[in-house]
Amino acid sequence: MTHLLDIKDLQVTFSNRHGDLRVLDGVSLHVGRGEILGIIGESGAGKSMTGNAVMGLLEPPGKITKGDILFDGVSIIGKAEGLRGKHISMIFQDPLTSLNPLKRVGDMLTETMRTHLPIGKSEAEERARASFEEVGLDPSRLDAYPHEFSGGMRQRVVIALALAGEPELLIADEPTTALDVSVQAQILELIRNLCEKRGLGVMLITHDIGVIANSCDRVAVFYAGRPVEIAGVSELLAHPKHPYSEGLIASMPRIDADSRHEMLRQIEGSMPALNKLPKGCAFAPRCHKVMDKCLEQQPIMQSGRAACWLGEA
Amino acid sequence: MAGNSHGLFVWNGHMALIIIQRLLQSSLVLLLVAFVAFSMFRFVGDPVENLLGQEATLEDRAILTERLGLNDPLPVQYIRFVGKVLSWDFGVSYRTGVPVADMISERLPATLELALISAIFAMVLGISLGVYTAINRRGWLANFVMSTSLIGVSLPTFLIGILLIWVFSVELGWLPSFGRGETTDIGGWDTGLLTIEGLRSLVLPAVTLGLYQMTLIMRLVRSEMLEVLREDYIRFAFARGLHTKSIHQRHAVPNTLLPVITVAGLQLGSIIAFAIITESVFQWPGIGLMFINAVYFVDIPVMSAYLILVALMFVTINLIVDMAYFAIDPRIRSGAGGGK
Repeated sequence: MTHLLDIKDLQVTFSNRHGDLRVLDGVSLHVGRGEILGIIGESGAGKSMTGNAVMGLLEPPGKITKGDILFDGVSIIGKAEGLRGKHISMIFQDPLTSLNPLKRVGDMLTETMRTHLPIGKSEAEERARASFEEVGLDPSRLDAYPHEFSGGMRQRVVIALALAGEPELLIADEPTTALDVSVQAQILELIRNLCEKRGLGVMLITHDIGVIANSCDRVAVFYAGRPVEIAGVSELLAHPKHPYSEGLIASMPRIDADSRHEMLRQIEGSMPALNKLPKGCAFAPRCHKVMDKCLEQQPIMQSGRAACWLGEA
Repeated sequence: MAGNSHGLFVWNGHMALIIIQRLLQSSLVLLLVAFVAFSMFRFVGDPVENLLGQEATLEDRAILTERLGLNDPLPVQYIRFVGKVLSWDFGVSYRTGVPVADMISERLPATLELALISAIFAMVLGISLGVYTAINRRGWLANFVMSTSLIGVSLPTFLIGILLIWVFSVELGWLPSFGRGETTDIGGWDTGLLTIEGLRSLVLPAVTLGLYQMTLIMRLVRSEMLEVLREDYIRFAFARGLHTKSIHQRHAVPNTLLPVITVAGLQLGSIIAFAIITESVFQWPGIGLMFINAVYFVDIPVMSAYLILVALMFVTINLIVDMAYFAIDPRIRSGAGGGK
């Protein structure tokens, strides 16, 4: 079966006169219909870059230099512009700045619908009302301007807009980071529902492992420009295979009884700069289980679980 | 969050309040300017001497001083002055003996037409070139326009005027170098916009007067537009697949023009003020030229009337700019204030 989105060995390079910078290297992952794939990692690990590469929105001089991105089995590199909105859509971190302040939200909604669907004005208005209801907003507010909504409501408007062209894949780049926790949960639940109801595939980018635990089916852990572990969420949380995933989970505060007196653990050190990656495993300098082999040779992800030499030994 | 009908009521009330506030501020500014204009009579030369000349007898002087009300207390004189100005009476020119109000109504059309055409030239060309150079940031044509525009910003107006006369009137002989050409009288308004000769005469002075504003508006629009193109809502518009052209036209340009309105309004005011130089270079029979002549002869009534007139235009334009924001920006309309 073909996956909705299939990224194969993707490499993205930023070139300038100082040389090449590989911001993504060897990224392979896939998203199915009706599935939420979480992407987690530190800032600069390549999460958003992966999303932008799929959307064809890489800022120059960023370029895809290797690998392929398949949508429904067809390569879309260089062709993403024709798919945006209609097949793949994306939402961003800050709902406060994601909406044109001078336009009524209803107008933006019908504008986006009529760009992608062969419908007239009145049908677009009809659909706009339906889509407002779908994302949990009162259709009477279609006449309002963005500043008349709260942050969480604005993110609902943003989601309605992103889905206006009825795409099959949604890339959500930290959609809840700018919202407070109670609103976060509502937005995640909304995304979860849309995913189930519409069969929408979602790539949910976040740096919050709590978000992953609550809403994703599978998760890809990114480190220094590549996924180091990809697994089902419950499996990853219970039995992380990569020491980095393990560290991430251990750094998450928990409220169960036995952990109450434990200190919260953190991963020592910080992610290496992309132009100063070590020879072997990029995580080796921070890894508490490091072996000689890790410093020599870069581990490869075997049969889609973890890129780590530990499992091999 | 109020419902829609209620919301409408709220911003109407809010708007009325702002308008009243602005009108009060404008009146205050005009009263202050009128005070300066009034003081000119007192402190620049002696009006009695100006009117009678140096051979008048002491008795004549006393009679005239009494007749002009110059023996009254200062506040009374000021109030009388403001009252006259309000009824469009600026006194009689020392030099020509003609009522200043008549001189103004005879010459104002020339200046207003010149300013209007310059402003249209500056805005239309400035905005379109600014948008073009922002969208095609790396194109050679955009870069060429940008570097040429430096000339427009750095050359003084009179030099541009003289250069244009030299090229287009003297060397090429295409356009007249001075005056308004043929004019038509429509209900007391002397217009040069209806005859070919009148329009041809307008070209050089209008370009001279508007060139600086045009380049200024262009550079402002370009930098604003570049800023707007980096905004999240533009990225999001691309991400949901809107066409590039409609993203530029319907989303980026309106947001770009918002801060430009204020500057453009002020520029329009200075177009009228700067018209003095252009009118001198092109011997354009407008109020700027009238003012320059008045300065040579210390014709105080004309100078003070000019001062009040220019202030009135500035204040009016500013008022219109403020109103324009209400029409365009929903955030100001609802009194939400602040926030991007």
